[in-house]
Amino acid sequence: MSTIKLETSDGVKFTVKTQVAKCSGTIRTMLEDIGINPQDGEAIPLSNVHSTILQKILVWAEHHVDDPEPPRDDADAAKRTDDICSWDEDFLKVDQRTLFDVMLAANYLDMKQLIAVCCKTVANMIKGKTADQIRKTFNIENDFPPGDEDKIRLRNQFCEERR
Amino acid sequence: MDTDWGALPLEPLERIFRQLKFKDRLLACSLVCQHWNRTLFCCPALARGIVLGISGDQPAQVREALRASQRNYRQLSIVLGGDDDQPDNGSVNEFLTEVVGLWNVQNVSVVGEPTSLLDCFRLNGALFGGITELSLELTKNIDWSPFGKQDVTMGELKKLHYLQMYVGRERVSTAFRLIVPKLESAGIVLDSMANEEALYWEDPLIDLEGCDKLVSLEVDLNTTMWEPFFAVDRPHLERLLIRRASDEFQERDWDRIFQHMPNLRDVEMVFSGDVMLASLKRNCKKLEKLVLNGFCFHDGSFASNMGWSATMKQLFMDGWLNGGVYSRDPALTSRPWKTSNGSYFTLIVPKLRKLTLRGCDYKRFHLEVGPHLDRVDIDYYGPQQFAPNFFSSLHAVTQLILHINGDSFRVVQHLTYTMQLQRLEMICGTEHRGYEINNLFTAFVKHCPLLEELTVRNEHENQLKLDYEAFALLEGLKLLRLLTFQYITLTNVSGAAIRMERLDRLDVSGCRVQDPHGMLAGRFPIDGHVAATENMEWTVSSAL
Repeated sequence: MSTIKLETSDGVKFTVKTQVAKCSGTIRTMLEDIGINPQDGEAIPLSNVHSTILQKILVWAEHHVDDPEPPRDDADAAKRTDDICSWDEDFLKVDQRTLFDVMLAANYLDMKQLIAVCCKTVANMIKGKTADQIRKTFNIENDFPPGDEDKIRLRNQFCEERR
Repeated sequence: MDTDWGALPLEPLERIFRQLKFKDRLLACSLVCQHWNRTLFCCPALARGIVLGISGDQPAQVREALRASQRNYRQLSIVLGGDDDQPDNGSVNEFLTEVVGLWNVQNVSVVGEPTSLLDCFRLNGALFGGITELSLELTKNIDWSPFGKQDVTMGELKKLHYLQMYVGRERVSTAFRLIVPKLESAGIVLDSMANEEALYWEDPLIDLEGCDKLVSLEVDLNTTMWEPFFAVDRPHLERLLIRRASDEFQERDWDRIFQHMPNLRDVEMVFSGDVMLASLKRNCKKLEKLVLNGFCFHDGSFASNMGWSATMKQLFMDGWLNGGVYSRDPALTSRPWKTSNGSYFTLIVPKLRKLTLRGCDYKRFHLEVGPHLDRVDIDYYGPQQFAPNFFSSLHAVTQLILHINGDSFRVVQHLTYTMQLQRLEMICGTEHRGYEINNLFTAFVKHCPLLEELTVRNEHENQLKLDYEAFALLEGLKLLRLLTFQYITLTNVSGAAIRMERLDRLDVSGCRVQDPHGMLAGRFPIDGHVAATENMEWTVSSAL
């Protein structure tokens, strides 16, 4: 079985089954389009991913490697957040820092299905909360100049959802 | 890498927002931090879902706040006042002129009376010349005058989602005519004011002749005649929907019309006649979907068959050979219909996938539909018979929707074949005192062993009654995954709860159980593993 080497931002090298690594659109492009040859034994540098996160992501990719291609996402399907499979749900029961890093790494590695479950998990954490509660949950700083929040509330009053 | 959720890159943040409902997205997320607030309006996919409302009665400070916003609004909803009661249209126009350069507005809906609209269009040429989508509602009529009508050009407009115009006995005018050379789809509703019977429509409110790129045209004529509508060639047209046309609409040279529309795929018509259908078939070889609402005949007879080529996938027929029949000659409408050979009508569609029938005379309705038919939606209210081959033609169908009433049990005698149904939905939508559905239910459960989804939906609150003995047959449906009952009463409970091991979803809203002998001991009538339940309003009572 063919393998390739990946090197993370902190210099750790991973040997990974090619098929598993190809869950990442970014790596797939490097191999297929740009023509990086894994046989050379040279590791593919992933300068935006830390080893702890890559390790976790590889666990996910290993589990999902045989999944069928996801259907093209349409507007209706996008709104469902209750369809996270229980394996993924357990996989993402992590602290917020890890969730954040996994999401960014999945974004960098172009792993559509992993991005989707991460975003659904975060969306579920936002649902039904007020702005204050969201800021507390994610430890986000309120950077609005004084008075701006009132202006936004006023503007929001005149916004409706498109039918 | 810092864990700063407030600085999440656009792409994942957009994806997160797309999972949220409008309320969570706008009312909560916009107030979290500046980055989140801006993101809502910089991703086209998100901004398209938000409409900014502007009207003449907004106080000046609101406009100020809207204008100063960093948001990039893409959709506006504008409500204009009349001439007298709301003199503030000027300030709306002024505001629109200012925001054109600030925002990337693409879609506008405007409500107002004709002259205010004309002003608004003229004063904001830059805005309306650049938008690609428009909805328009005219709230008032003005006197018809063929003179002084002004052309309004919207050079980039591709979609006219909705153009609503109120028409009445009087001749009315829009005061302007839309010139939309790039228009691809149009939906036009000629509505009537205060239930007046609308008769005239001569106002050329939109220059359809100039719309070379028109692909989809949907018109609700509200029984008016609107001749400009029929007078244009539309070579690219793929979708033509005509609703509420008057019967006079049939009397035209259909060949001349359809031969200019060879690309039609999706057609809806009212008062279809044999002549028109023959012409449609002759000229439009790509038809995939056809909706026929009612039938109009000229000499009292139907063609004995209707055949469509292999492109036809979906067919809806209402009132075939039974009702919904109209003729110019009153003597003919009171006479029973007849086909030209006096017996059966045969529908021949070799590649049909979906068939919907309403109010048809099933007794004489023969089907020649081939093996692709998958979904059938029919109503049957008894006591008429079905043509001998009707149900045998449906033996490979996997999905059946049956609209029923108290006389529908008569369909049972025709269910002599084992059917391949995987989904069955019985809908009781007619006002009727509650009735028993034992025969109907038993026959379908016995003849359809492959059922995976079963729905019995009673749309009013007079409970349908189902005997426990019939209900218990559900145990025999080993593949059933989804069960939905609505406003059903289980009567004469004569045993313990039935076992259903494979249900993924159970929804029993407004259902009752009559258990006079306490067989269920107050427990639920279904036992076993059910993954998800939605509405569990299943009231178990010991009273009769």
